[in-house]
Amino acid sequence: MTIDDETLMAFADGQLEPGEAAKVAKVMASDPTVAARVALFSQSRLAVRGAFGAPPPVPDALTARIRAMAEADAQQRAGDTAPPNVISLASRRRMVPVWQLPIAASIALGVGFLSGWSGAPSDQSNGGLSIASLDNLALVTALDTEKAGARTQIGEGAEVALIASFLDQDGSLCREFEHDTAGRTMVAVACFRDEAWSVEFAVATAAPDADGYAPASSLDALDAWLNASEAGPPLSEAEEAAALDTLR
Amino acid sequence: MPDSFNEDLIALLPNLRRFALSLCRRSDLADDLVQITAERAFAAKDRFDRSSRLDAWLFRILRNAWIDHARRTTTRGTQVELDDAPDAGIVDGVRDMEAVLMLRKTEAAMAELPDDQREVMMLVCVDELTYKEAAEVIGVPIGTVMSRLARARLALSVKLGIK
Repeated sequence: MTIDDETLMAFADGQLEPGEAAKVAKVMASDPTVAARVALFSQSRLAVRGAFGAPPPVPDALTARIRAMAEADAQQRAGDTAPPNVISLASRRRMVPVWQLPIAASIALGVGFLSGWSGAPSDQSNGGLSIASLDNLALVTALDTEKAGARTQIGEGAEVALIASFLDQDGSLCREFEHDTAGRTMVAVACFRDEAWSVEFAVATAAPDADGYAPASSLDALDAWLNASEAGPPLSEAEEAAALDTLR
Repeated sequence: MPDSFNEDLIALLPNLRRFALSLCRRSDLADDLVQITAERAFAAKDRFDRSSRLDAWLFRILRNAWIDHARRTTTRGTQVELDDAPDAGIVDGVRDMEAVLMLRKTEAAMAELPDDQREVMMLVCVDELTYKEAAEVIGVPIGTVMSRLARARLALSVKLGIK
């Protein structure tokens, strides 16, 4: 009887059902090569556990910021509306305290409405807020077909990057994407309702630094909006593929 | 509602940061990922299933934040070599040269693994999640976790001379 590596590994990790584990133990007792294989899986685990045993200490500043968040959260849940005094200006710049979420969310929604994105033809002069109307066929095609993580050209000098897919509270498929034109990046969320995509959120992001690394603060408004609108967790690749299939 | 969620989360910060470092290998970015994870966790606290492991739930949030970041950053060429890797040799008081060398070799072998294999190694062998919990963090079937993990362990054994 041969036992595959995955089963031997699961045995070494103590993750087999008792009945199955007993079978492996029996084979091990009579076959030294099987026993050696199990030992190899045990030792590799021990080696890694040993090398990464104790996590490195967390920087004090980070712990302090998160403690402040925890306190803000506790106060907010206790119904205390006074802003916590433990949050320094420096840390406020980098996060949306929980007690500011409704305000941030309504501002973000305002942006979405102002942009006039109900499907009207694109108007590039519209205060710079309009990036594309959803009769932009290339954008619609990208929303319909591209997997999260894909980046495609849509027209002259414009690119769209699909960031993530999720279901909103009504179970409609929504897609977070970035729209890049020269020097401007918009983060937007479009949801598929009544057989068409409608843009529900849009905001210009802060400019990334030289490494192309946008600080967390640029996405606070999006996070606030996602929380306020009770968006579900991001879909896995398989879930997303299935959801996109239903659009066809 | 008095509960231990906040304190539990703070106690897990070192584990979250270690997982973040294993994903992005940049300490400034790892700190940001941990912070984003905490923000999202506080906001979604009511959706956490108290019967499941908090660390697994937080790892999933952190991993999603990392994927978001990776998708936003089309160029990933400027990763800095990790210099605050866990120094287990010192922490554990191990002074034996051979043991220290083995730790270094293991760290190097882990760094050489493909990202998806290193990730399951961290979740299962270091943070001791079950295969099922790791599968939920990553959002793949349990069979995928097991095949990645077995391949990673075999590759690591070869590199470390475990027979």
